[in-house]
Amino acid sequence: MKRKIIPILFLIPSLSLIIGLFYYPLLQTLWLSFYHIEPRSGEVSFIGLENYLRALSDVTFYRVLINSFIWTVLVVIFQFLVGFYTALLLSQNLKFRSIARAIIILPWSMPGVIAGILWIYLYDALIGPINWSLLQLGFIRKPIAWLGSPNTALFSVIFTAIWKGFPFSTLMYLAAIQAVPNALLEAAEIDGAGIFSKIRHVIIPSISPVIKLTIMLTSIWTFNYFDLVWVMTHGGPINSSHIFPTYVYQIAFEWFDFGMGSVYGIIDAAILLVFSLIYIKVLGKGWVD
Amino acid sequence: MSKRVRRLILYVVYILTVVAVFAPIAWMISQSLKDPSEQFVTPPTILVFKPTLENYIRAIQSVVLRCFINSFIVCSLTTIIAVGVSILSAYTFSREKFRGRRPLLQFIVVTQLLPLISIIIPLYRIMHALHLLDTYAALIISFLTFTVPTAIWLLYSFIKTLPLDLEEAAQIDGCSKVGAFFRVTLPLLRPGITATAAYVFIVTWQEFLFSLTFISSPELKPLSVGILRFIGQLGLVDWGALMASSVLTTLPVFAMFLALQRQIISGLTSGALKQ
Repeated sequence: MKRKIIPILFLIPSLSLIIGLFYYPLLQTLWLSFYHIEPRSGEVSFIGLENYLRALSDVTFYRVLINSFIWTVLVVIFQFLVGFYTALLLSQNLKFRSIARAIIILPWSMPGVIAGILWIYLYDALIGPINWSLLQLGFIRKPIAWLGSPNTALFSVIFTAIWKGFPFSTLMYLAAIQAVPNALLEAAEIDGAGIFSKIRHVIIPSISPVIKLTIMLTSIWTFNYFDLVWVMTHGGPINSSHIFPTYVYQIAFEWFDFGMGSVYGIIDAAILLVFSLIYIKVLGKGWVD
Repeated sequence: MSKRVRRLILYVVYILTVVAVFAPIAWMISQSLKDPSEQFVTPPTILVFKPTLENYIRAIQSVVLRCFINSFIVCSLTTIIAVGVSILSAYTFSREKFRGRRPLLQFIVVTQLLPLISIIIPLYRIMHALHLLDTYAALIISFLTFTVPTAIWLLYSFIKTLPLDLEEAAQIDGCSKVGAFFRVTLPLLRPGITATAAYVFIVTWQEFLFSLTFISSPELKPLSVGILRFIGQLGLVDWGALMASSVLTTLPVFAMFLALQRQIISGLTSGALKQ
C-alpha cells in the first residue's frame, strides 16, 4: 500500500493545475453564460437563457459560425496538401536539403503576431509588394485593399495562415515518410509503379495514422487560432473575418459583456468537443493508451 | 523522359518551392536593413543597397530589450514549472498500474482539444480577484493551462519508448520502484526532456492571447505584444523598426527549433506510429 502512495502523490500538482486552471474556469464560463454582468460594478444577475436567445437571433452569430468553418476547412486542407507535397519533396535525394528544411520551418517558428504584421505589410495597397507585383504582371488594374474589403479579408488571412502553419505538417509527414521501409518502395518500383502509384499505394497507407493525427491537431489549432485574424483584421471589416476566438475576445474585452462572451465561448467549446469526439472515434484507440 | 530531364525538373520545382516559402521572410529581413529613405521606393526591392542597422538599434532601445527580458523570464519559469510537474505525472502514467489510469490521462490530454478562449473570461476574473493582473505571475499561471497537458503527453510518449529492464535490474539491486525510475531512466530521458522543454519554451514565446489580456503596462509586456507599439495611432507604422524587432523575436525560437526539431516531432508522432 505504501508503495502506491508516492506515485499517486505525483499526480496531484498537475491534476490540481488542470482542474483549477482549466476545468473550473470552463464550468464558470458555463455558469456566467446564464448571467448578465454589469461591466462597471461587476454586479451579476441571473437571466436564464436570454443571452443564448439573443445570440441565436443575431446575424453576426451565423456570420461567425460560417466564417469559422470556412477558415478551418480551407486552412486544414491546404496545410495538408502543401505539407504533404513539401514532405515528399524533402524526402527526395536532393542537394542542400537541410538548408531547404530550415527555410521551410521558418514560418512555423515565427510567432503568429509577427507573421500577421509581416503580411499586413505585404498586402498593403500602397507600399506592399503583392499589389505592386500583380499590377506589373497585369493581373489587376488598380491596387486591392486585401485586408480592407469584406470580400477578400477572410481569404487573405486564410492564405497567410496556410503559409504560417503548413511546416508543421511537412515535418510530421516527412518524419513518417522517412520511416516507410525502403523494401516496400523498392518492391513497388520492381512492380513498375510510377511515382503517383507509389504515393497512393505505398506511402499514404503507411503514414495514414500520422496523417489522421496531423489533421486532427491542425483542425483544432486552426479553429482555436486567435493571433492572425486579430492582428491582421480585428475581425473586420464589418465582421467579415470574425471567427469564434476573435469575436469572443471582442465581446468580452472590448465591449465588456462577459455574459455574452461566455455564451460564444461555450458554443465554441461545444463545437470542438463534438468534433474531437468524432475524431477520436476515427483515430481509434491509438491516440492515447 | 530521360533521368536527367526528370532530375532537372525536380530541381526547378524544389528551388521554386523554397523561394516561394522564403520570399515573405526575405522581405522582412530586407526591410529591416533599409534606411527609411530606401524603404518606400518603387519598384519595391528585396536587395538592399546601403544596409543599415539603424532600425535594429531603434528597436532594441525602445522596446525589444525590455520585452525580450520579460519574455525570457516568463517563458523560462513556465518551462521549468511545467516540465517539473509533468515529469512526475508522466512517470506515474507510464510506469504505474492503477485503476482509472486511462480515463485520467484522457481527462488531462483532452484539455488540449478545447479552446483557451472558452476559459479566458473566468481566468481574467480570477487574476483580477487575486490582484495578479499586470504581473508576470498572471502569465506564468495562465501559460501552465496549455503547456502542462502537452508536456505530460510528450514526456509520456518519450518514457514509453525507454526499456523497462534496467529499472527492473535496479529494483533487484534494492532500489525502490520510484527510485529506480529517477536514478536509471531519468538520465536516459534527457533528450526527451530537452525536447519537451524546448517545445514549451517555443509555444510560450509565441503566446499572444493571454499576454494581450493580462498585461497592460508597456514595461511588463512580452515580445509578442510589446512590438505592437510600433504600430502607432492613425495607422502610422515604423516599418523598419517593426521588421527589425520581428527578426529579433523570431531568431531565438527558430534557432531552438532547428536544433531540436527531430526530437519534438518524434515525440508528437510516436503516439500515432505505434499501433
